[in-house]
Amino acid sequence: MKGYIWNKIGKIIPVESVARPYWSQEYFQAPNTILLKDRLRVFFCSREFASEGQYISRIGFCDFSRDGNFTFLGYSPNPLIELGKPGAFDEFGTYPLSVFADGDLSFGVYGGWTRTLSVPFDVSLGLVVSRDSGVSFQKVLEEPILTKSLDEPFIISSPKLRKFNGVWYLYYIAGEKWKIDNSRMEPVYKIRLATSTDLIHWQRHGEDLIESKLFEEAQASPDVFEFEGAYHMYFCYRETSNTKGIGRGYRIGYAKSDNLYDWIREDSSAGIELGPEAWDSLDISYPHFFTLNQKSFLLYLGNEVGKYFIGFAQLEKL
Amino acid sequence: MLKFRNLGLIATPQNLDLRDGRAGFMQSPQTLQFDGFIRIYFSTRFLDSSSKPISQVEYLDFSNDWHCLDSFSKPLSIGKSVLGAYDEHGIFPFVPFRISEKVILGYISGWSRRVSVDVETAIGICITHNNGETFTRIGNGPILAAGIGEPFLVGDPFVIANGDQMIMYYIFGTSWISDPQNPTAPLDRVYRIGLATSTDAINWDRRNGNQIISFEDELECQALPSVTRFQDSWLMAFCYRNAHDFRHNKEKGYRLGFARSLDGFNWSRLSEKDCTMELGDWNSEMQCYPNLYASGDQIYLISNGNQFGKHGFGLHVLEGEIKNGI
Repeated sequence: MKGYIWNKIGKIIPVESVARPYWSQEYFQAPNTILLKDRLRVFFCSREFASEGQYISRIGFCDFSRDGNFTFLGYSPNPLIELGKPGAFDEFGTYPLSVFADGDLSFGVYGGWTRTLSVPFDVSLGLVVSRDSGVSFQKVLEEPILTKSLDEPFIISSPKLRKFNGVWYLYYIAGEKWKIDNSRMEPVYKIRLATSTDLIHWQRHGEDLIESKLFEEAQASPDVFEFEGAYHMYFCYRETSNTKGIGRGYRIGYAKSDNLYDWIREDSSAGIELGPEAWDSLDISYPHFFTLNQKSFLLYLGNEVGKYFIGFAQLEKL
Repeated sequence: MLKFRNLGLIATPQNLDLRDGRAGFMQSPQTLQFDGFIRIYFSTRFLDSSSKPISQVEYLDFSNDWHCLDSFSKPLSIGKSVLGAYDEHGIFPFVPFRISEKVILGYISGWSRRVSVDVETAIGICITHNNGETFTRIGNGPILAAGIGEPFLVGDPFVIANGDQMIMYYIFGTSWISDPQNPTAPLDRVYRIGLATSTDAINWDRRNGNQIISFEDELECQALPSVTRFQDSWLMAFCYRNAHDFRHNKEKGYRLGFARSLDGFNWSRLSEKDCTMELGDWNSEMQCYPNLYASGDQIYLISNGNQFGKHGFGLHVLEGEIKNGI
């Protein structure tokens, strides 16, 4: 997006002034929007306080006016997607979610979490559908639509569901390796693509889409959209060693494409950096682009991968 | 009527080098025919640092009349599974499949441990470049894992050629349930036999949870399908047990079941009257993990017996004929 810059507006959810629902006691993560007739709906992931040191991520939404003022209208009272039964791929959490409104239906692809013994977790992707614009979702299948495979051995996550020219595109990440860094397990994962005509059977592209720029870089949130005649992807990337160190967390990257498969990475054109606020000064991640009233906006997570706030910024042409 | 005559154990823990950390067990024998001898791959147990068993693959060679040619089994090198992979806590079973004289594949039933349930399994693939003495994984991930109608516990592959295509028989989990008699115990799993087809041995067309072997008891678990073609028929051996209390209660433990087919896809389960097994001391309490092996006009059954194969594996030979309409 050469020649563009994102002007940060602030926190989109008025966290300090509105009571949070029980399912959202900590974290605001992985925002994704759909635009309804009377409101902007922002799906996000959140958590109850940790039990025995472990969290379970749930998915809900909050609504805003669509008049350009982003007036906060409320949270979903409950999480939207049930956890899976014992042994199921989504028994221990649902994170992240990507929703695509397609006529009267809204389809969602979400990451389902299971807990494993040698490494902390594994993730596979499930499919849900809503007939009421995301107020409630039903699982299309109890099983994953995309899980570990021959060259994607674990952590199939961070979905972004899109439809271009009648074909479903699912941008996601696939684990490449688990590494042990100072006795901490850290996964390395890369952005990949699968396509489908029915949302259930997917053809994997089988290649990393975005060239890595860090050593053993982890990439997530491949937010793809069409804008002013080209395809764009905002994503986030980070180091996978010494991950708690200053400057080691997520930053936002950018790539462009003319065919949705081949991407040219051009982070210098992302137009969004850390800070200057204290809450987004250490890491920014999980970008999501949307347009409203002919204006373009970017949602993103602040420090500690959205532990406290979701930020938003407006696009300005230089 | 078919009858399997008992020929006794052909391999025992005396064939395991127990000085080298092996904890016994010779499970799920799988045959591969060579010119002049028969190789049998099986899983034996090692204990990891937390004293939990890890199944690893070894092999023994046998003469064509089933005399063991090795003093001790040899570990099969398949390389090391990567951290977090589907097979990092063991391989059980390891199933060879000969595509041609030169090309032999190995199908891996890989185990990885879970927190809320004991285990998850998936099926991977490897290939040998030295006639089955070592294998190399094709990829760190599985070729078959949870899928539509098959939510977990995909394992126990057995592959057979069918013209230009291959059929894989395998199992998938249907539920994790608690035992009403023992509600605080870890959950028990239920699993059934399905099939998939392929033309390249790697990409498989599945049937979305279709269960191909009939059962009367909803708590029946079916495992280790093995198939051979004989005259105009297909014969399958498998083992089955109750979901609960199967370790110590003989009535609920593993027994062998058999099924017959004319096309490899549609199967009729044989009654215990239609197919009987002569039992020996080694499998008087339990019969499990069968492998069928056809040679000339004979069909052999290699399987485990009491205590899930702790004491080795034994041999039966089929008597009687498979006729249409049994």
